[in-house]
Amino acid sequence: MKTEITLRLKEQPSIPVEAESINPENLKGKSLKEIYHLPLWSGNRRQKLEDYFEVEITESGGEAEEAKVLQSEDNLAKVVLAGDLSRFKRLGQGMAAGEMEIRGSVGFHAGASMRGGVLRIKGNAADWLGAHMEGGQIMVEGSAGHFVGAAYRGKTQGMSGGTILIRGSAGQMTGSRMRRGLIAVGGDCGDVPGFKMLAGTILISGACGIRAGANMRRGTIVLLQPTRLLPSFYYNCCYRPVFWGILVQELRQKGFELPHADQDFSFQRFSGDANEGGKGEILICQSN
Amino acid sequence: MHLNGVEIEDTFAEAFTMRAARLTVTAINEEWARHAALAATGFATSVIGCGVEAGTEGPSPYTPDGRAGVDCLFFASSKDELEANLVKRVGQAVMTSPTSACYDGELPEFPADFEGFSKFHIGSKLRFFGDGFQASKVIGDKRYWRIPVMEGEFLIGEEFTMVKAVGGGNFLILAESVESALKASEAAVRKMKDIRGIILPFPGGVVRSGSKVGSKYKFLTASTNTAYCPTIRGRVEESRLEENINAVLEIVIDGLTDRLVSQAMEAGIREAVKVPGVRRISAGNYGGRLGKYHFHLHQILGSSLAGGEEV
Repeated sequence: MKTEITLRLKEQPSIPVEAESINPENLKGKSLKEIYHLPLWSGNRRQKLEDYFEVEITESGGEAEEAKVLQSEDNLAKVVLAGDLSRFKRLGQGMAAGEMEIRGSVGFHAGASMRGGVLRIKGNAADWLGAHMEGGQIMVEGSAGHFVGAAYRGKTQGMSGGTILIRGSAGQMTGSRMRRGLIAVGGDCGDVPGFKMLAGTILISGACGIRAGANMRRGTIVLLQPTRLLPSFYYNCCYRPVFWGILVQELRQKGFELPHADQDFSFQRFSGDANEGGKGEILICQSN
Repeated sequence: MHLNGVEIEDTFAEAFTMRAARLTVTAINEEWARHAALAATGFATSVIGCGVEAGTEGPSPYTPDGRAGVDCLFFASSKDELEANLVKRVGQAVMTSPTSACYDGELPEFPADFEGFSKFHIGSKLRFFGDGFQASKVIGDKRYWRIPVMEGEFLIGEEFTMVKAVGGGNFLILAESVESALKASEAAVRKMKDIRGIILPFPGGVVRSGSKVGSKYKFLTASTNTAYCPTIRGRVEESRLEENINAVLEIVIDGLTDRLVSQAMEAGIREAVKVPGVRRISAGNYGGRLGKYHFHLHQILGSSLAGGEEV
C-alpha cells in the first residue's frame, strides 16, 4: 500500500515561512495529529503546520503495488503540497529519500542541501534552488530564480551531486561554484552561469546571459544557442563529443526532452577560464 | 543414445570457473565499432597462450551514447588476469580505433541485485595516456574518462563489471571426413551464435588441435590429444577413433552461466547431427578431477533447461 500525504494550503501567509520540516523523511510514521503539530517558523514566531495546511492521508495500490513498495529501499510516503507556496522557504531542504511533489510555485532554498529522492515542482522556484545539493533529483516545470545549485555566501563549493532539471528559464549565477552534478535549463539563463565552477555540467538550451563560465576552473557548460564568450576562453576545435550522446540519453530517461536536440550535434569547444588554468570547457552547439 | 542416427557418447564436458566481463564498443557506425571489437577480441582463443578468451556477440541492443555498438565478452582465469588483459586490449585495440568509445556492457543474464558482481578498473588506468589533459565526466551514477586523441576524444567508462562465469564447455564432432566434420561444425556454430551470453573463442568457433594434459616432454604442460588424432590411430593404444572416423573437430564454449553453456551445447549438437557423415558426438574432460562443471551430453539433450552439474 502506497501512502500519499497531501498538504493543501489554506491561505497565503503575509510573511515568509521557514518550512524545512516538510519532507518525506520527516513525515514518515507520523500520525495526522503529529503532522499538524510540526513546527514552522514565520518571522520570530513558532507556528504549527495546521496554521497553514489541511492534511489528507490516502492509501493507494493493491497487492502488487504493495509488494513493489515493500521492496523499495525507503518505503516513504509520497508528499504532495498543493497551492501557491512561493512564500514557503526551504521546502524539501536536506531530504535524502522519497518523493515530494509541489503543485504550485515554491519560495527560496527549495531542495537546498538535498541528498537524495525526487523533488518535483510543478510551478516556478525562487532563488537558491538546490543550493549545496549533494544528490537526488529536482525537476521544475516552470522557471527558477537566481543561484540554482550555487554556494551560499562565504562557502567555496556549491552543489556537489545530483541533478536539477528546469524546463523554463533560470536566473543569474546558475551553478555558481558547483563541484559536481548536472543542471539542465530548457529555456534561457541569466548572466554568469557557472561562475567559479569547480566541476560538473551545466546545459543551457535557450539564450545565455553574459560572462558564461567566468572564473571557472573545471567542468562543462553546454550552450545550445550561440553566445559571445569572455576573452579568457580560447577556441580549440569543432567536434562531436561522445559524452553528449550519453547526456542526451540520460536526460531523456529522466523525462527531460530537449527540443531539437540530437545526439549527433557538433560543438565548438572553448577552454577556459584562462585566468584559472583553463581546464574548464564551454561547448557551443554548431548544429542548431 | 542416438540422435538422428548419430551416436551420442555417454560422457561429459568438463568446464571451469572463470571471470567474465561484457564490454560494449561503440563508434560512428557499425563498421567501425566492429573493427574495434574484432581487434580487441583477436588472438584470444585460449587463456593458456592469450591471457583471455574473447569473442563478439553481435550488435549491442542498447548503447549508452546511442551510437552503433558491438558487445564483446572476455573470459580469464582470475580477476587480476582479466583486468590486466583488458587494460592492454582496450588500450591497444579500442582506443586506437577511430571514433570508438568503450562502456561496461549490461549483464541482464543476472538479476540486478546479484551479489556476485565485482568491479574492476579500465578507464581509470587508461586515462593517464591523456598526459594530464584527460578529464572525467560524471553522468547519472557513472564516471567516464575523456582522453584527448588526434581525432577528438576517446571516451571510456571508469569501472567495469565482472562476474564468475563458466569456461571450457565443449563437444567433439567425429566424422567420416574433414568435409563432413567442418560442415557440421559450421552449422553448429551458426546456431550457437544466436545465443547471447556465450562465445566460441576459436577461429570460426572451431578448434582442430584439441589438447590433453601433459606431454612426454617435461617443458610442456599440454600436448595434442593423441586419442582423437586419426593419422596416428594405429600407433596409439588409447585411440578413441573407430576405423570409419577420419576427422574430429571440437567446439569450445565459454558462457556467463552454466545454463547458457548447456543451451549452446544442445543447440550445436542438434545441428551437427543433421549433417551426413557425422558418426559420433563426444566431449572433452579430464576425468572429472579438475573442472567444477560437468556437462553430461545425455542430460543436456534430454532437457533443454539442464545446467552443468556442479561438483
